[in-house]
Amino acid sequence: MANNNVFADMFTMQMNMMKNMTNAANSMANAAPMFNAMATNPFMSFMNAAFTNNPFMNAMNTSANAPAAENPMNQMFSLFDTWKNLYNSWASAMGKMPPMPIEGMLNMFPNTAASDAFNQMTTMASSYFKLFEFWTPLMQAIQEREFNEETFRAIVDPEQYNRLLNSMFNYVSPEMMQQFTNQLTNLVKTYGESLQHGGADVSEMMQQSMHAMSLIQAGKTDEATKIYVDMADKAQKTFTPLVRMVFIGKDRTALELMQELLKHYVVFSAQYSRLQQYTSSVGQKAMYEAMRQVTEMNKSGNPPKSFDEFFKIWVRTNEQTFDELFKTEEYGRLQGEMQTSSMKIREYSDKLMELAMSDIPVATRSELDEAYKSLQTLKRQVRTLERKLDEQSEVIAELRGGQVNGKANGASVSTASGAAPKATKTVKRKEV
Amino acid sequence: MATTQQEPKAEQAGSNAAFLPMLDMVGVMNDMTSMTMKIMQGYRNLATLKDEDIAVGSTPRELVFEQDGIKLYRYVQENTITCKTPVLVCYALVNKEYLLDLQPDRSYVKNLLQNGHDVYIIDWGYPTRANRYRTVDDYIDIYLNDCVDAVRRDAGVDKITLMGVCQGGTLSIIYTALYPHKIKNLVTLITPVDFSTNDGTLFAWAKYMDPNPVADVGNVSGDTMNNGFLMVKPMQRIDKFHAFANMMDDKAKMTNFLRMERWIFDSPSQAGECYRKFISELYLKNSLVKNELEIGGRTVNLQDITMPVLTVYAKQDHIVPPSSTKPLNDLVGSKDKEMIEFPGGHAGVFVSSQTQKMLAPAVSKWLHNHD
Repeated sequence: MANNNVFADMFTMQMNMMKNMTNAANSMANAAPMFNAMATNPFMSFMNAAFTNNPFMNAMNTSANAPAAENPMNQMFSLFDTWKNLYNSWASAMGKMPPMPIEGMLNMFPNTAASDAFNQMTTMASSYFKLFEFWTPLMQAIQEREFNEETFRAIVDPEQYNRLLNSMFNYVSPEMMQQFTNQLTNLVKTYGESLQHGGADVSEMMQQSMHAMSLIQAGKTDEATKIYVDMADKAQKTFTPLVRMVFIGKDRTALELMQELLKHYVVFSAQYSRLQQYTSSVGQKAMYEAMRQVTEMNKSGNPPKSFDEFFKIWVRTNEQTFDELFKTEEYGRLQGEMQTSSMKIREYSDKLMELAMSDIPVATRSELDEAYKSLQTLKRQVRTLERKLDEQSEVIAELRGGQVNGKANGASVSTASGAAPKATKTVKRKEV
Repeated sequence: MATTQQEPKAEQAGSNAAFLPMLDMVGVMNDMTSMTMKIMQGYRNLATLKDEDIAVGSTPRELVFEQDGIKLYRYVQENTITCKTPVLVCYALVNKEYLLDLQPDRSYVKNLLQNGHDVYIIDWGYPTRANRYRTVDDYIDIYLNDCVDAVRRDAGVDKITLMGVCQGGTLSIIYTALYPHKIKNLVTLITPVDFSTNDGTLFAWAKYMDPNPVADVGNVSGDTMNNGFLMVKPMQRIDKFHAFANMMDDKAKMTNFLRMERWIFDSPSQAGECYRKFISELYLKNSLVKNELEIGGRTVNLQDITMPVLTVYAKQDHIVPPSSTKPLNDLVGSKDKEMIEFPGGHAGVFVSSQTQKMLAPAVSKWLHNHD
């Protein structure tokens, strides 16, 4: 790219990009029969959101027609802001995709590999562009003054960087966590109401956990720990008297299950927050290291020649830093504990659901599990008996001087401890 | 991209050149434009991709035996069989066996066939909730044992070569120790044996896992397993899709990449009871190398493995590090044992273009020498 008329080049490039994107959108629309159902097609809705009626394309037009500024540097930074907004809008459009969420879009792909790849590409793109948004002010800082830890901390927006890390690690977003909390609250509240015990304080307690999570992410662990302790205390105070009041029967079981469920939820929330906190602090350490490397490269007169190059440095640095974290005992222990508490939540919510459906005349999951267990035990016993019978048949055949049971392709097979499965019953042959 | 390396000069303030040493603004924007275009092109290509474009496991094979959703196949041999001992490939319960036959020009199985072997393979299927009570003991004493017998019957031989891959290698080692009279040669590839190692992240994490609450709720879903594997190298996922965006215009490269992705995400659930025992006995107690593992009421003693053993490992394997694989040869009772190191990672050793001409010929040579 020529440097003598940077604005002209930039505008040309933007116009070309817009043109190409419109062409790409049109090509996509014509590419596959699935795009024909435009009105109900979520993929098309996404494309519309991404290319036609969104701030991204509007901003593209605006920046392309922007008047030349008196001060090129200001204009350049202003354009940078515009570009930041462009990609923000783009990523936002990616995230919104009305009226169907990404899961719905994934179903539109002709095979699962393409669908998975789409999902992964979206993650990568999100990280790539989020990093770009994050990186821009840092690069300006490096350019304008000496880059050091203090500068870094002054510029870095931890929440923004956390969003980037969350997208990398596929962590549950705060919105999804809120949804999960609400569902769990509703489950417990519904039970509480049906038992006429109100489910008091449960809703408030669950909301507290969301607040505690945000505190942990902001590094306020002491404050968050107090909330978790308070939550556990509330859970106990809410349910223990009720359990004492209800001596026997389904109501008591439900109360006990709810008590256990909430206990594990509190534990899980605290662990999940800690895990995200680890990720956040290590991720920022990695970012600092990446920036340090870039500063060194700059000082030595060999700065990254493109954002792609910086992206690769950032990826490599993160890989190394996270690898160190993952191998620590503390991280391994936390992950193991979190797995246990999440499984406990699943176990108790399954039991609670099963209890709620126990009056419906269908087999419960536990009853089916019992049947599966018996079936596997029977299969094991039958196969063991079959083998013993086959062994005896072989011994008899050998005593009679005949051929052994197992014979295939004209060769005899001596099977010292158990014959091969009988071809007449089990062996099937077909072209695959 | 144009980037000068000169220090900014005061007199250039206000001109474009003032900040070019550090930031080539147009270049950066060009990067962003280019990446956006590649991603959009990528979405378009993905949306129009057909199943047949990324077909896997294309080497012809015949169904020999089937039991409880577990299938035993024999590959169609179009060449002369020069090694008379049939090979039974026992793949892991995690992921699918077609990694070994990913595409015609990257097929370990095809290479074995071309080298004159009679090759059978087990497809463990996709366990459902109805299979949650399958144990490691069932996999050894019923399913693997029946597959071995079916191969012996089908091929008309007393003994076979058992070739275990990854977790399938661990199962093969256990099986061979319990049924040595049916096995002529044991070959293990990228197989975990010593679970006490701290070299692999998965091994480090497993030490703090309690398999009981997991198995108590049923099977372990394939997604859960996959997330664990992907979390070991979280940046690799982003890095490789960044590279993928740069290869979207090359259909061959794109479909090669997607075949591998298809394999990665094709993860069967793990039967809950099998998972419980595998984690608790092997990862947590390391009972296999201590000769303390019990299967079907019998103790597995690695000294009972006395036939020739070939151990293959990948030097850059971050899933099953060499430190977990290599101890096997010191633990077995065999006198005839050999170890081969190959470049590459865990799955890469089977699919990389570099190892296509190395792995199968080396294994084949060893098998011919022990026929």
